Amino acid sequence: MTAPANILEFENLQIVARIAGRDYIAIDNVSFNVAQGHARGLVGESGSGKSLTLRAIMGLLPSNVRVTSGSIKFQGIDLLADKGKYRKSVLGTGISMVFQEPSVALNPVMKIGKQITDSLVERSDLNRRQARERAIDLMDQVGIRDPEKRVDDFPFQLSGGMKQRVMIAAAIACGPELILCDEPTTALDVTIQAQIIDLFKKLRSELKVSLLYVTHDIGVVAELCDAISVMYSGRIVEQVDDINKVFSNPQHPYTKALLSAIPRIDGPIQRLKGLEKTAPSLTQRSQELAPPMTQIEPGWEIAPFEFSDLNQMWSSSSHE
Amino acid sequence: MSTMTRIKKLHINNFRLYLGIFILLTVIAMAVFASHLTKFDPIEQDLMNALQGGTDKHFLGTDNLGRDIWSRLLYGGRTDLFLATAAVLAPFIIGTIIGAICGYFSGWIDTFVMRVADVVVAFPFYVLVISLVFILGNGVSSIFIAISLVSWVAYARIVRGETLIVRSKEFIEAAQTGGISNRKIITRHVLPNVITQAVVYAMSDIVLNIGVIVTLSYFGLGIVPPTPDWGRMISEGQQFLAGGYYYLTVLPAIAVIITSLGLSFIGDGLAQLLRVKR
Repeated sequence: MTAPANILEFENLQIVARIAGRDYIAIDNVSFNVAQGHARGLVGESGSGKSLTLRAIMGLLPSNVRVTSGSIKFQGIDLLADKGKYRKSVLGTGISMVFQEPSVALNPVMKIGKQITDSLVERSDLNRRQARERAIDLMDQVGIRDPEKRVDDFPFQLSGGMKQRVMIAAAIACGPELILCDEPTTALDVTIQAQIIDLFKKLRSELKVSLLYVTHDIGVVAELCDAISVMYSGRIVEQVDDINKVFSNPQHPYTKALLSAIPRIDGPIQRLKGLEKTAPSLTQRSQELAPPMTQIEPGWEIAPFEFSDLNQMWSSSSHE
Repeated sequence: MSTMTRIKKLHINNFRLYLGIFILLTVIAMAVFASHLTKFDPIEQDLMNALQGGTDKHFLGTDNLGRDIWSRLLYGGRTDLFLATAAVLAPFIIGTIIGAICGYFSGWIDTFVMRVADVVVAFPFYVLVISLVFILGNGVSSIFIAISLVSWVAYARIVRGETLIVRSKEFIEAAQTGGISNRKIITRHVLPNVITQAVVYAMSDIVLNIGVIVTLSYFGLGIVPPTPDWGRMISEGQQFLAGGYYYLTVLPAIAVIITSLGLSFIGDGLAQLLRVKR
């Protein structure tokens, strides 16, 4: 079996945040790719830089945050070059994005049907009726019942799960090849989560769309993704193209700890096994550059640092 | 309870809004149909019948030049309302566009425009308007230009502030990731979310403008004499106050107050309506 071409390639991405006049390395040495038609899960705890990595693709970084080196290539062309002109040309049609919080990611004063076809209408000469028909088709495709009635609803008339379905309908409206998912199920009930994940599975098989799925829920990744990258403190600690390998035989201690971390309803709140402290916040983090990854076998690499190093990622110098 | 009945209930409860709309529509109707409501020409003088109180012929009386006061009130309302509305529309449109652009793009254009706005508001409103009218010369168009030059700032600031809030919302990012152009994001996503605040302000701004126009005419600036207007009626009537002809001043003043009340009610009612909706 030959490996399919990569639709998205990260190479040595470094992102720096300027906070109170000082630069801090938020993301360092992030390299991975998403193969055509495949799904990669990007996992990590809050503040590990997974969302920042995702936002860098879309150019949605906050104004004090910038990419300092590396490249993000979509279909072989760097998105960070030419002042974002190429990126602009693939937004919607090539790459689209589903956000975490569907209640704020939809315009409250615009009918959902219009929002679904907003980017489609931008690039085609669909008239109002055709756009409405298309919106109804898309709503049907993402499993919204009675789309003919719902198409003229406003977001506040929908439940959270329905809103997320609307977001997904908007994301697939222009037939993108890659969908970026920024924790799309985090804000939803567990039962709705399962439905949304099923929907993503269905879209994967029907539309052959590739996914880059950011989440802190490793269970979601297990269910939906082929490949996984685990992030900690802005670095990748372990990543593998075949997700089964990491679940049966995790190599990095952090991954092991993450996989064995099953929250107990009656137990005390625990840190991950072997970690002394929580992950350091950005300004408390060591500014040392991440060492190159060690390859265990093709398509499987881990960071060469151990737990003791993770604990030492706290900066030794004190900041006021 | 369905959404529609909830909205209906909300409207019924909002008594002030309806009262305001009723008053304003009445005043507008009187101004528009002025020619049907009186048989007198508002500028036709009849010195033989000057300074008469209510008579069978002139039921609100006549002024010092024998002009019918009822007729002058109607036609004066036409002048003042039209000018006040026009002088709201222009700054409303200009200020909203400028505010949305500044808030959305930020950067040097925002800094520049907002500093210009600071300079404009640094002057007291009346001082600036009066000096502008003085420079531009009397007349309806100079009042319109003077008010527009000054009051776009308020709209720009309101809309800019609201835009800054909306700008940070995720649905704007979502629209950007959909590859929608900035112009469309502003017109389709930003403006519908920020315009309401500007509309509410516009209602109170019309009140303010009527005040400004009346004040300017009272000072002898602005609207040129033969044209009937409430401000000049008040100021011309003043000299006859001592003679007991108080109605020359009081009647146009009542007209100003009623109109302003109506507009204020609408402004308050709208503000309440939109607050509840949020």
